[in-house]
Amino acid sequence: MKRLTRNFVAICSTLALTAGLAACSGGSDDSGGAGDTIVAETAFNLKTIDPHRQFEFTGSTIDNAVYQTALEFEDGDLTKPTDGLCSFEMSDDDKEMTLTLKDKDAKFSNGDPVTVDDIVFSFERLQGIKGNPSFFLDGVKVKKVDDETVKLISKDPNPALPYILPNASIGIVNSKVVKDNEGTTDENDGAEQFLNENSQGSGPYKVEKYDADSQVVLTANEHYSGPKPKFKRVVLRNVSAETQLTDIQSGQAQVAYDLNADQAKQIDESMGKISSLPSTRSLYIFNNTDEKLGGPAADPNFRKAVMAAIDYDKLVDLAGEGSQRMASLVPNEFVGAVSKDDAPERDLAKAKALLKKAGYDGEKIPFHYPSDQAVNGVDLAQLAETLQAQLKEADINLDLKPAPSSTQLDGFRSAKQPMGIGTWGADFPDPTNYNVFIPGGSVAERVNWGKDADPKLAELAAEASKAKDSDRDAAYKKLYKATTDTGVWIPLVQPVDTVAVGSSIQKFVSNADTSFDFAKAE
Amino acid sequence: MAGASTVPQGTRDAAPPGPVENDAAQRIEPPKLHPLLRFILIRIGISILLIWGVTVVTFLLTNLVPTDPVAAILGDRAAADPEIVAQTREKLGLDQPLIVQYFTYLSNLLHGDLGVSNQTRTPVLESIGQVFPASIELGIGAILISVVVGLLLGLLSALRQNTIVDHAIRTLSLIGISAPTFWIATVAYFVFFFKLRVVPGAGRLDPWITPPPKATGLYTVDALFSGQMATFTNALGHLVLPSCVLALFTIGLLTRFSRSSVLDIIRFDYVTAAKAKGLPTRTVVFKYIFRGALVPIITVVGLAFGSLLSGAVLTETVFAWNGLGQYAYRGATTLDLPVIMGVGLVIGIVYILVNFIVDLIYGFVDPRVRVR
Amino acid sequence: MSIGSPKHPATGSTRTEAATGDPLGPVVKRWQFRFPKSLRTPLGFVGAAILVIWLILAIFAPLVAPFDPLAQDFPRLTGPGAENILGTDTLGRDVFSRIVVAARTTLPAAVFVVICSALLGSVLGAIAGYFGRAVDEIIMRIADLVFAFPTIILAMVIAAALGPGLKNAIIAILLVSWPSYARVTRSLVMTARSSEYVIAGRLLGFSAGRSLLREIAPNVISPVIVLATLDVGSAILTMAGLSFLSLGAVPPTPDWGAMISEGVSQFAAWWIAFFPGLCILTIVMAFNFIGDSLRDSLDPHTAQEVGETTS
Repeated sequence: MKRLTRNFVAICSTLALTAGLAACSGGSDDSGGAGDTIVAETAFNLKTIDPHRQFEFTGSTIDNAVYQTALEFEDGDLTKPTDGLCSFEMSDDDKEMTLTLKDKDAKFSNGDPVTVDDIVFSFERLQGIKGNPSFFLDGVKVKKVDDETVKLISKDPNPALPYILPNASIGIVNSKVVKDNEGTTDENDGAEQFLNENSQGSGPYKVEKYDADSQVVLTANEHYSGPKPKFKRVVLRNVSAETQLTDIQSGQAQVAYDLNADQAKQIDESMGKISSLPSTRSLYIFNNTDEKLGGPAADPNFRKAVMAAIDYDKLVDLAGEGSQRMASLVPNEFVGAVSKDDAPERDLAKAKALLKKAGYDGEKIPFHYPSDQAVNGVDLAQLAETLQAQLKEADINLDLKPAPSSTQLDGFRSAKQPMGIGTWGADFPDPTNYNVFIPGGSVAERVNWGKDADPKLAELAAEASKAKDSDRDAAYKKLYKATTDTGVWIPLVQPVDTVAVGSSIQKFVSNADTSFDFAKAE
Repeated sequence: MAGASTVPQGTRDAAPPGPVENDAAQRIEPPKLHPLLRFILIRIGISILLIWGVTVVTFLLTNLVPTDPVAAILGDRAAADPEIVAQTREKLGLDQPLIVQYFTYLSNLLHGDLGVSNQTRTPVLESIGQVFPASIELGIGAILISVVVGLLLGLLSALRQNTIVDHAIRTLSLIGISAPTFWIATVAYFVFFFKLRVVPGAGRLDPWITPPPKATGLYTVDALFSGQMATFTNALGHLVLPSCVLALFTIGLLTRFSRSSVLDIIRFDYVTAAKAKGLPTRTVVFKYIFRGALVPIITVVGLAFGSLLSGAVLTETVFAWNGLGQYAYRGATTLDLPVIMGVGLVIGIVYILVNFIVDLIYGFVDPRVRVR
Repeated sequence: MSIGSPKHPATGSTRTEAATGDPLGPVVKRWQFRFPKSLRTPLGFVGAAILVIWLILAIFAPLVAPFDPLAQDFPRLTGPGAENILGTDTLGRDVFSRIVVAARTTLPAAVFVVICSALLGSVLGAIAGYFGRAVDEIIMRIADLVFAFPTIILAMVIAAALGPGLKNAIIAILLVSWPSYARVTRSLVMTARSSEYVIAGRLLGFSAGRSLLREIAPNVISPVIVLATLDVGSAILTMAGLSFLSLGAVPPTPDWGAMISEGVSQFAAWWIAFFPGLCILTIVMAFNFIGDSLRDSLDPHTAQEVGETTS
């Protein structure tokens, strides 16, 4: 969970915004001096930019610009996987995928051409080093057929594979150079440090300087086979959202990733544009199903009472324009998402009746959440305070238990927290990514919701996994609707992904796949 | 003050109590080599002992933290695999008893290895090397401002003792030490940058300016060395507001301190004598009073430097100043243990060294100290 | 500043004396602590007045606060106006009500932490000073160690280790603030111990406890009280700093430091951060004014000077 990536978002639009700069701005006195440099700002969530280990938001942002992938999404439309470095073909049983090297001009930043060997090595390294993203290719065998073809053979039907391969974690690296620098396809791999400082990708940029504390500088990859980017240099700085706001306003930065709704409102036409897209994140309340650990939360009636006591419209208001209600944990734009018209509604009378049934008498329930985290500008501490006040109106008493993310996560992982706020960012835009929430799934285990807890859900899950093509949507809808009805997970809101772009950028591409494409900005 | 006396005080007041001041005989007594050497050796010994203590404290503190470092290092996905967890635990030596872990930690320290951040996987020493100069630069800026302003105000206050000027300055300096830094920083940033735009925004340089080639790590100095005047001006501009904010507290401190030092000196006979001899007031002030007051002031400056490092935690957060303070803050909020231990150790050592140096200066300048 | 700076900013001259080898000792015996008189300076008066106002506000907070400080009833982020005189915050709560109610946690907590650390520090300091030798060495070395870390950084680490919360913040501050009391007490006790009447008592066979409590304590209490008064200010600042770093009181309890931190991310809504800061400033100022006046009556030099010119 908590995958903080943005690169997979299920929506469609590619916004090519042409800012009316010409019209409005004598104010292009953006003392910019920027020239061919883009300054982009975000609060870093960055452990590494070795693509095969990288599993954080900032790492994805960088690797997206540095590495190419076998497949891509067509114009950023997450429902349409398409050819990247390779073209692909899926067998009828969804078990065998054939990749054929398509882009024969593609070159790494040192001038080496991209070969099938590089692709095979990259896939195998991802699997073998057992890092966070290794699970992407779990149960997949990589087989080189010839110098143009690779086959990916899965044990079970794997219809999600085309949606997985465009992930920046499966970036293609220069196998020769990486091998020369202690890179292997097993756990002895020692190339992480090397890859942090010397990127080995074929994307539009390469890494000039990597400093995970303060900033990462990218420069254009002169061997890139696509159109040359206008901005030759990208400086990605680690600054807080407050500073991002003032930097966009003063023209010191051109891109800000983390503004919340209130901050975004303060950017007017003369300063820049706001690009808002639905995020792939889900915010939810978890309830421990173990009677001893969960207390009242283990009672379905209590959980449903909580669901009926929340004022969802206010949450959407807090999360800002463009954020949406959710009827399940699957983001609204994905296959298998339950329509938001079915989302729970506030009904205090119903909540109170349910509480009576549950025999709940106002006792305090510890409510855990990470205090240092904002998800797409939604401050979880504020969300918790809001929920507490709303539930109080139904006489439900939450005892707020903030903790730094790492401690809070430890507690959640050990399955001992009765209630709290959880977040999930899609790893890939397919409903199977949400199987972790059905009984026996890895997240479900954290609320002691074991495999045999709910035979009906198990049945629906089995049906969904067998469904093919156009039937999948309905099958998964049914599964996740039933999951929401248990009240174990209470979906709260799907936040909005906001990128602020300064007025000195006149044209840019922002889509569900890449919230800001450095190479295409002008 | 407080810490100034930190180390020194401990030993000094162990000496038999009794009035010492005005003891002219003792003052003029020529320094003997032996007690001086002994004094230095003792101070070195105490400093080393303290540094060792600091390692114990940082180690124990971080072992109290209720978090699993392995999970933090591996990340959520990989931490779900018990085999990898066990492997990492072994690799980090976390399966060893605490005392063994401590000695491993100590021996790593002696090899200059402060560990690797859980959050960024960057070696802590390397990161500290990056952020430390930033804090030093800010600290020097603040010290310069506060020394100049503080000394002048203190002197003025003392010379105009009990006049309205004196009262005004004393009141202001009390208010100065009463304001929460992070609030002053926020307000100053809001007014001078956000509204008036008279200072540049957060950070050490405008974002598109490349930092000057690293020599000292102080951007202003490095820019001068490499002759990049534009970079120098820019760095200086960014330095002004945070230094002033940070200086506010030390100005208050120095004002009060220099005032009382000067008042002390004024009462000494030689100053009275000088005045009686008809020397012009200005000469008396600078030649006698100021020089005499310098010693205690050195203490405060030394102390203030240490205190600035910590005031920096909050100021740097507001000004996005990528220094030790911000690094410490990030480490503490994300419970990044190696970072917390590293910062604690470095700051502890800096404090101890500063005190050591202050002590030495004291010992050299003021014979009373070392005799005892 | 404040936070984290030299442990006792305002105690300036008192400690200088100690530092330069002029322990408070000789003074103590002839110094008499007369509370009202020592406050009869203009600063002391102003400080006392501000403090009294704050005490009244804190005690009658539920009557003073126009609204429920937790109710999210108002439009979010409205500026100061007729209904919400100091505006509303990000969640639509009345800032004025929150500020007033916050005084009820901050003030008692700060006073409590100072009393505890004064007690702890003085007891340890007295033990060190009275028994000397190994006990002294151990206690004072530990004190030195604590001094080797800047307050806020040590408090930050301790609070982070224990987890956020008012109780843990208090423990953290307590752990970092006792050594200054230990220092002062120790040197006072050492002076008093060698005075004739204490030696006489010992010769008469009084126990250590009796000697410490009956003969030595009276000499120590007054300076410690002055130190403590000045310390309430720094305790408030440190506590506010911890909550600013979200290591203080757990929400939704209103807290000044936390409000400022919220305001930092809502720059356009300046009132969220501005007013709580003003509260901290005034209240810390009040304690510093009072402490300063008290110290003047304690510290011989300053007292003398004041005497010379004003009388």
